[in-house]
Amino acid sequence: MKSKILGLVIGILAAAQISTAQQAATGIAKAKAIELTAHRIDRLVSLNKIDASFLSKTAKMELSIIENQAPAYFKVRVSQTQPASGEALQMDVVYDVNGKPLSFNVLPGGNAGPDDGWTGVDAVTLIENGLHYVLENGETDANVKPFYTALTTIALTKGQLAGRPVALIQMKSSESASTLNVYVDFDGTFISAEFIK
Amino acid sequence: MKLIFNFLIVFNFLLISNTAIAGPTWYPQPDEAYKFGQMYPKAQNLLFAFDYGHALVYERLIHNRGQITDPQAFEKQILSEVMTILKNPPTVKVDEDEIAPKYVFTFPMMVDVFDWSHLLHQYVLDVLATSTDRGQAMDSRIQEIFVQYNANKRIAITDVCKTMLFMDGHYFSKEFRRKFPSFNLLIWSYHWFQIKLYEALMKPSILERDAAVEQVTNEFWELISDLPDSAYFDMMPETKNVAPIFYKRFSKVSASFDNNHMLHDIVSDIFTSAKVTDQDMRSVGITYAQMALDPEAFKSNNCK
Repeated sequence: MKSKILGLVIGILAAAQISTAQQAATGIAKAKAIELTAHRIDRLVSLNKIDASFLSKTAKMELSIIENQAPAYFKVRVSQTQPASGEALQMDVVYDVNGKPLSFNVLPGGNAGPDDGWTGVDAVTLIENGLHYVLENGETDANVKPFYTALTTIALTKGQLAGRPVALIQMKSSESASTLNVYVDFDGTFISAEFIK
Repeated sequence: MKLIFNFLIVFNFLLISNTAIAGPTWYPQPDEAYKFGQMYPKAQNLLFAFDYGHALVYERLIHNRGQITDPQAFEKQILSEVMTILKNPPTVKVDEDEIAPKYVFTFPMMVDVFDWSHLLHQYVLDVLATSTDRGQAMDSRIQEIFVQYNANKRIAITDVCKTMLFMDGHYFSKEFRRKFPSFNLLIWSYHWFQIKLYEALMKPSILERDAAVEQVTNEFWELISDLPDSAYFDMMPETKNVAPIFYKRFSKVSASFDNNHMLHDIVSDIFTSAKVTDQDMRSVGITYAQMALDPEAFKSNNCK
């Protein structure tokens, strides 16, 4: 009898856990959490809560899922350009499953990296405009979808396209072996996208 | 010859007066017009106060263009004025010509576009608040009003949803929120309130609707209680997220509202950005108002 009751309790708990996990899965897409981070940086800089270099020198955002620390669910680590030595300046932003911001934390010990000198719009706007390709096509294009639902990293560098300098936004997904390259003009205008195996 | 000359002067005057002053008229008014306000006066008066607050902010921005040396102090001063209006709201729709003559003169088409869209906002609220049939009859009534709105093609904002790049993808974009973050969050809180009211009015019973409108009103006051920190959103609130039930049932009306809200942000950026010259402002205003009407401009792939 005892084992039957124990079995029942375990069953109920397991079902509750599955239900919680399913609820979590109904939150925002990972690409959306990155978009929110771009806007969060903008706001934090405007309010003088973080250094303005996070707007001009951000080079990478990495997303991870926080396990078992509800309501915290998404963590996005924002990294500035890599300095000659030591760690880059970094910040963590944490959201709940619906994208509500819970906290931000500039990590100690980071060093200022070089300024890539983006001439049109700032680095965060370039990243976001590249990401828009995924946000716009992620629900309808099977090739883009993995980057919408399972984006892990987005990085900004300077690139060349048909002999002219452009902003290259590279994205990686945990559900795709490909890298998605999005090319954007320095003023933030989308140029083209390609998948690299 | 003199007669023709005089005629041309009078005609020109009438044309200019019509463009700059006369607003769009919805005739005849729907039977439900402003009934929302009779049922929910606190919420309705806040909506009137938003119109007042928007017009006031635009007028101050346009009057002080290029002369704001301390944006924080400027923001603090106007915020305090707007808060006074919100706490003592008008009980009727205010006339923007009285509050913001320079804005109305500079952006005549934009003003008409907003006025027309605000009437749609109002009448949708009125129908949702008063309809005794919560099913097909209510949907049809909103559709009738929406058809009448869209029939005025010269100033009807498109119901095709646009990407966020419509709001953020221009040479002058984001200037307002960067220079006046609290102001911006106040305006986004207005937008949140407007669309959250639709969601509240989707509740099936009148008791539930009354409670939901009360709750949304209280939440609005919390959102603006300690700006900028009290308003948590980092992006403009969208109907899809804030009012998912309303969005699912009235997706085209929702798209039209979201486009209206994006256009409000565009106007704020145009007034704030030094990249838009005083000489260009009027034509830039017309260009972006026309974009809001154009179903192909910044069309999103995610339209329902």
